[in-house]
Amino acid sequence: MNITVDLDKCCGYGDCVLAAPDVFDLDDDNVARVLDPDPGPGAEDTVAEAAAACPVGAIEVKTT
Amino acid sequence: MTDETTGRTKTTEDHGLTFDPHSPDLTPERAYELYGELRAECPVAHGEKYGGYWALAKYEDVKAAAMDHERFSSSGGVYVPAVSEHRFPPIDFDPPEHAKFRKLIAPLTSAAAAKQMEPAIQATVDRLIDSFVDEGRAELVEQMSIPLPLDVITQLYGLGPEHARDIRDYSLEFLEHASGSEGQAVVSRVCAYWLTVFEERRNDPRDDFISDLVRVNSDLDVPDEELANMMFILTYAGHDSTALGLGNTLLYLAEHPEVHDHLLEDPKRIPVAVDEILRYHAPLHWFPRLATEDVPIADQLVKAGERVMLLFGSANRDADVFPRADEIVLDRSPNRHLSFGAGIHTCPGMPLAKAEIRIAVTTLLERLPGFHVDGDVERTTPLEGGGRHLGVRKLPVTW
Repeated sequence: MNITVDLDKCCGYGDCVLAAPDVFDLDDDNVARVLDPDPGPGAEDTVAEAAAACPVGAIEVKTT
Repeated sequence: MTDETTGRTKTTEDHGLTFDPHSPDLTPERAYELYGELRAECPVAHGEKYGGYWALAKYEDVKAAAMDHERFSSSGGVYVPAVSEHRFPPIDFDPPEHAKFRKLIAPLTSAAAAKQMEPAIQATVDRLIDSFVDEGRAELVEQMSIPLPLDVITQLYGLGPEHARDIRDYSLEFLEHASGSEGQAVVSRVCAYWLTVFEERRNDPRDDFISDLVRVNSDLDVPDEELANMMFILTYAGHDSTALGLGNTLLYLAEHPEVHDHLLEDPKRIPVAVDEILRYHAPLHWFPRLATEDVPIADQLVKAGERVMLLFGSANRDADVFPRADEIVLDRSPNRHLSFGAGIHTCPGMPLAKAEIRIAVTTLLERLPGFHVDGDVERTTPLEGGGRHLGVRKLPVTW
C-alpha cells in the first residue's frame, strides 16, 4: 500500500485522523501528515474509510 | 412522492407541512416536532416562499448533500432570503476559491492552534468565574457563554479590549437584523470597520493574525473587501455560534445537577457529553445550497438552480442513525452528529469551540458544585438569527 496526501487540496479537516488515527495526523500548520504510508493489509478498510471521508479527496491510496 | 391521480409531484403543502425558518411559530419544541413529521412523511419537502426551496430532513440526505460540493454549491449565500450583496468567504464560496480562504484562516482555527489556546481559555474561564463566584449566583449567558468566546476570538486576532467591545456590539446588532432589511447596512458598516483595522495593521504591523493576514494576502491578491467580508463572518460565527452551543450545554447541566458527579468522576466523559448535547441541540439548525444540476433525492427531483436547505437540526434527531434520538445519552458513541456540518464547509472553528466548551464545563462543574437553574430561563424562541439559531439568552443559576 502507498498512501499520499495532496497538500494543495488538504485544508486540515481532520476526518482522516478520526477514521485512521494510526495512519494520519495533522501537522501544526493544519495539513494532514501520513504517519505510516504502508500500514499493511489489516489496515485496508480503515484507510479506505479515511480516503472516502476526506471532503476534498486529497488522499490517494495505491495498492501494490 | 407523486400523486397517483394527478401525476403531480407532492409538495410539503400537500402534507400540510412547511418548514419556514422565519415562522413566528417555530419554537424549538415545534421545530423538533416538525422535523419528526418531515422525516416520517416528507423527507424531501418543498416550500414556496423566498423563491422556493427544498428542505432535506433525513440524516443520510443532509450528509450526502453536504459532502457533495460539486452538485450542491454554496455560492448562493447562507441567508434565505439574502440579507446582503456581500459574499462571505469561505462559506459562500466553492472550490477552488474556497480552499484559498480556508488556508488563510487555518493558522487561527487548526486543532494545533486550539491546543495552544488552551491555557488562555482556562485563564479567561477562571477570571470570569472569579468575578461572580462569591455572590453565590450567576447569569451564565451574560457572565460566561457570551464573554468567553468573544474574549478568545479577540485574543486570537491580537486585538485589544476596545475592539472586543466593537465586535460584540456589531454582532448583537447584526443578530437583531439578520432577517430584516437593515441587515445589509449593518454588514456594510462592519466590513468598513475591518477595512480600517487592515489599514491600521498595514501601517503599524504587529505580531498578530490581522497583520499576518494582510501580509500573506499581498501574494494572494484577494481584494481587501473580500477579506473584510471574511473577517465579518469569521468573527460573527466565531463567537455567537460558540455562545449558543455553550449556553445549550450549560442549560442542560443546570437542569440536571444529578449528572455532575458522574461527569467529574472521569473527565474524559465531559467532551463525550458535550458532543451529545451539541447533537441534541444543534446551535445552527440549517444551511442552504444551490443545486448545480438535476439531482434525484429520495423520490423527488431537485432541479438545477433550485435551493436546498440542509436541516442539520433534523438530521441530528434521525432515529435511523441515532438510537433514542430524542433523548440525551451522555455516553453516546459513535456520535457523528452534524452540528458542525460536514464536507468542505465543516465549521473551521470546531476544535476551538470544543476546547472552549470543555474547559468552561469542567471548571464550572468543579467551582460551582451542583449549580442549578434558579429563576426564569430565556431561550431563543422562535429560532433567531435568520431563523437558524437555537440557544439560551438568560440562564440564572445558583449552587
